[in-house]
Amino acid sequence: MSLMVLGLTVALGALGAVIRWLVWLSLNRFGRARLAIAIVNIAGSALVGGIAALPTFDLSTPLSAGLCAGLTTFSTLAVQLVPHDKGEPPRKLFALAALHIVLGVSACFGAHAVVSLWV
Amino acid sequence: MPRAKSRQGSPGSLSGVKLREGLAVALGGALGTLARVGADEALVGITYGAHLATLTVNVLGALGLAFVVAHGAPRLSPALRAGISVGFFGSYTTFSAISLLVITSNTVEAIGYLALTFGLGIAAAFLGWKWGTSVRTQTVADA
Repeated sequence: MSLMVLGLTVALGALGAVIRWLVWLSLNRFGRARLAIAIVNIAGSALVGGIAALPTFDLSTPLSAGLCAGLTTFSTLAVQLVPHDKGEPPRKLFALAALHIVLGVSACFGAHAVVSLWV
Repeated sequence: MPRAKSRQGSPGSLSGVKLREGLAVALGGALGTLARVGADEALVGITYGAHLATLTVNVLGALGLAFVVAHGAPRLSPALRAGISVGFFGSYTTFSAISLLVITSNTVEAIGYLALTFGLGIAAAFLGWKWGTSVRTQTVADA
């Protein structure tokens, strides 16, 4: 990876983190932290699927490994999925994991299919 | 008293404190991205290298974030806490790469990879949480 591509990837990773933080800030005050993480993960999955369907261009890596990967997160989701005594019942945690997997993978697959038709 | 409260700005407004947090999130996000890309580059050319790199950062990041959240890092400023948790660990780990790996793998690989990622990731977050809680309790007991 060239230094230029690495620099752009890191810069877009920072931008993705800031967008995720802003989405989280605006929804967390209504107690909707889980929704915030679901939104960024599904949106980022769709975006990376669409980019992967395009012929490789200069910004492919900065957009996918930077913006999309920085916008989405797994660590926060994993912490939300930890079972606690007197916490959410396991079936609710299982449903949250299933929601991310089904909607995230579908969004990625769908965007890839749509962009493939178009290019 | 509601007037006095409103003068401090709503929780989501970009006050000076929020601006510092935002800058910390950007810096942490840059460092997290750099560390993740480093893991990707280190495993380029290896069979299932991309799968392994993403699995590794996601499991390590889940462990680290759970530790920080459970511990609470009370001695750090809110901006530094946000930079480490939302910025660094948030960007070090990724969900979009999981989705892309899943749609480009065959069904068996995809299901196996999701099971490994979520199984190990939640186990790591569970351990990180226990670890952070015990360190915090120990610190309180020592004080």
